[in-house]
Amino acid sequence: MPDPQENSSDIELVRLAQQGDMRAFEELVARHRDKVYARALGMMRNEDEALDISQDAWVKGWQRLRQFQGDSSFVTWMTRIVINLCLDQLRKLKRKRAESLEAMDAEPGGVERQMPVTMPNPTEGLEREELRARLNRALAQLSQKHRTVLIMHEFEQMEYREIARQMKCSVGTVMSRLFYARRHMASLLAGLKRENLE
Amino acid sequence: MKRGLELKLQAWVDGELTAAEAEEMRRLADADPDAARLAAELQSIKTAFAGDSQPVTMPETREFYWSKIERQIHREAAVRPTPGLWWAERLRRWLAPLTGAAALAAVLVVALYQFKPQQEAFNQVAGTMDAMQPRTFRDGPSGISFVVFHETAQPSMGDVAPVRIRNDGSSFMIDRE
Repeated sequence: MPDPQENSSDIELVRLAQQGDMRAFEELVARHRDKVYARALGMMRNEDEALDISQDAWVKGWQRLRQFQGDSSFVTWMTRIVINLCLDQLRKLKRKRAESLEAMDAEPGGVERQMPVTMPNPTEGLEREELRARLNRALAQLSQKHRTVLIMHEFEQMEYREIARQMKCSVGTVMSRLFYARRHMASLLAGLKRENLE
Repeated sequence: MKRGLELKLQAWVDGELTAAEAEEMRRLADADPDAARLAAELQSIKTAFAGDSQPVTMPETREFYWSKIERQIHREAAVRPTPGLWWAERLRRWLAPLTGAAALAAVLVVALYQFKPQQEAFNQVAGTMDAMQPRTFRDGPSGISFVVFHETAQPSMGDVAPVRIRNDGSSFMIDRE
C-alpha cells in the first residue's frame, strides 16, 4: 500500500513535521538525503565523514524545524545546515593539523594569477560522466577554502555576500578565493585533458 | 590586468554587478582580448559545474540511514529540553550561577555576622557584668552554686534582700526573706 505522504509536497510535510510528525520528516529525509550527502561529500571529500555530517544535519534540521519559515525551499535550508556543519568540521580539522603546503601556497593565489588563460575550453566535448570524473579529480586537488567557496557558489548558487557570511570572511576574500579556485580548476582540467590526449 | 579588474570581470560573469558596472565590463571584454579570454575561461568553469548536476547516490539504504537519524534524535531529545520549554532552559542557564552567587553571598554575610557580633557580645557581656553586680550563692549539701544578677545598674547593698535557698531534692527555690 503506497504511503500517503509520498504524494505530499515538501511544504505539507514540513508543516506536519513541525507539529512533531516524524514520519513526515522521514519522507523529507528520503527525498533530499542524496543532495544533502552530496554537499557534505563535495566539501569533506570523505564518504564516512560525509555520511556522519549529513546525518547530523538532519538531526539539527529536526531540532530547528520551527525556525524554518519557508523563505527558501526546504532542501536549500537543509543544504545550508549541512554546509555550516562541514565548515565547522573543517575548522576543527584545521586546528588539529596544519594545512598542506600546497593549500597554503594556493591561498594567496600568486601562482594562479600568473597562469596563462586556458584555451580552448578545457571541458569542451566531454561526456557527462567524464566531465564529472575530471571535476572531482580537480576539486580534490584544491585547497579546502577554494573548494568550499566553489561548491557554495557553483552548486548552491549562493551570492558572494551569503558565502562571506557563512565562511566568516569578507566579500573581497570570497571573490579572491573564487577567482583563484576557478583559475586553478581551469589549469587542472587542462592538464587532465592533455593527459587524456597523450 | 590589475587584480581588482580581474575580480570585477568575474563578478560580471557571476551576475553580481549593477547594470552600469556590467556594461562597463562588457565594453572591456569587447575591447581587450585578454579580458575576453579570462572571462571565457571563468565562464567555462561555471558551465562545467552547471553540467555536473547529476545527483550523488548515497551508499546506505533509506531504512538504515533513517534509523540512525531517528536514534540520534531520540537520544538528544532525552537530554535536551523540549522546544516549547525554551524559557525553562534559559531559566536553568541563569539559575545555576545565580544560586552559586547567592550561596557565596550568604556565606559572606554569615561569616561577617559571626565575626562582628562576637565582638559586640563580648563587649556587651563585659558591660552587663559590671552593671548587674552578680552575686554568688552556694548550696553546701548539693554543692551547687547560683549566680544572681541584680537588675539595677548601680545596686546598693541596701537594695539586695537576703535570700534563702531551699533544696527539696529535685529543684532549688530561692526565697526572699
